[in-house]
Amino acid sequence: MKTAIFILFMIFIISTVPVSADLFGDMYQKIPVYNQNANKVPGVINTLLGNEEMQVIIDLNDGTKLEVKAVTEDAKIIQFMKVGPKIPSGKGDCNKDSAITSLDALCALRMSVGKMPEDQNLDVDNDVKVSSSDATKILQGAVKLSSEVNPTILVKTNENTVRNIMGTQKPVDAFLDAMDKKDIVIEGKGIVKSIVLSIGPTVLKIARSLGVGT
Amino acid sequence: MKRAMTIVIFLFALIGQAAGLTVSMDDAEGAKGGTTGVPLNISDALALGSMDIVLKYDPSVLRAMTVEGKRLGENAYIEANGANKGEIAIALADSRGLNGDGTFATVTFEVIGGIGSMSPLTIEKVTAYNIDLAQISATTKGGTFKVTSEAPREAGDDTMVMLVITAVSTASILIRWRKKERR
Repeated sequence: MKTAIFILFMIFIISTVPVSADLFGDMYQKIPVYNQNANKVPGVINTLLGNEEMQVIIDLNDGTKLEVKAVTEDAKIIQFMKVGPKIPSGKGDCNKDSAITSLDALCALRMSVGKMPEDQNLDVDNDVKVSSSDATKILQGAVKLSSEVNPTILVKTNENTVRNIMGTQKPVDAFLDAMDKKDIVIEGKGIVKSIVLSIGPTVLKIARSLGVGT
Repeated sequence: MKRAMTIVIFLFALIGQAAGLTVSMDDAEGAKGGTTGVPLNISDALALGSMDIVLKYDPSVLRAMTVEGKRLGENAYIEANGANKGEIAIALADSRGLNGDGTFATVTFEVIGGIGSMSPLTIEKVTAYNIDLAQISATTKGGTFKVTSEAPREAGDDTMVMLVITAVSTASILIRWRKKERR
């Protein structure tokens, strides 16, 4: 039940987002609209949604991942932020000033295009090469994006799926299709997990057979 | 004459260099309940490779939402963190370097203060480097944000109403399903 409510909740956010280059920005910009209308959400949803901490992992088309943490309180989104990288101690610091700054990201960028000799110390994602992905992670470290997340719900999907849901006139249908094809995988943590595994597929089938979202 | 011209041009170039990098935000205004993009500008940028900025504002008037690279910063890598109320940290890197004058990013705020309230837009700290990793001195100029009238109803509200209706329908389906299960 909780999962189904969560699905609706996600659809509320995602389906009202216009498509542009910045997926996170698009999602973020619609939160005030959602929160302003959260009082219109039926009581049953308000009650069941409770307090959730969601971790959404989106595989982006450029090969990187976007990790988002969303915290809800009384059906309102009170936190929606990118999850920062865990940069191992001593890594990522190009100019050895004991701080992670944009300068270190610039070093990584220059190394990635061969303008500087590669220093494995800047390979913060441990893929044995210094690339723009390291630069992005170092920038996220520079603005101190928190890497702490203790999700009650974990959602895994990809950019195309999210954009497809955003662009369609039938977001609920697109969402259910994506779940069917495992393009969206939802896992509950702890007690919620068992509920998800037992009733999730049933809820999905009932919703479809009754024509939800058609 | 030619020599004199060269000297004048050289002097102009020197004056230009001495001005250094300036990071600024203009005065802005927005409607209560709406969202407003406030441009972040640079002037006299010369091969600007990276920059760390801390921007402060009144959290009772504005809520920072996103930072996006625009115009000069369209190809730059930009990350921002607005987790601390009243503060937004921005980091930028571009190996090709930013040059000239203009907007490089837009900070989008949700306007939460009452009509007539104001918030300073203070660029508290800037640390900048050129593409050769040499530090550049930078000066800052902040602005003020003023809350104007109430935001007009958005067209997107209708979509939201439609979605709420979908939610109500699905909730009732689920309740019916639960009742069936009890039987």
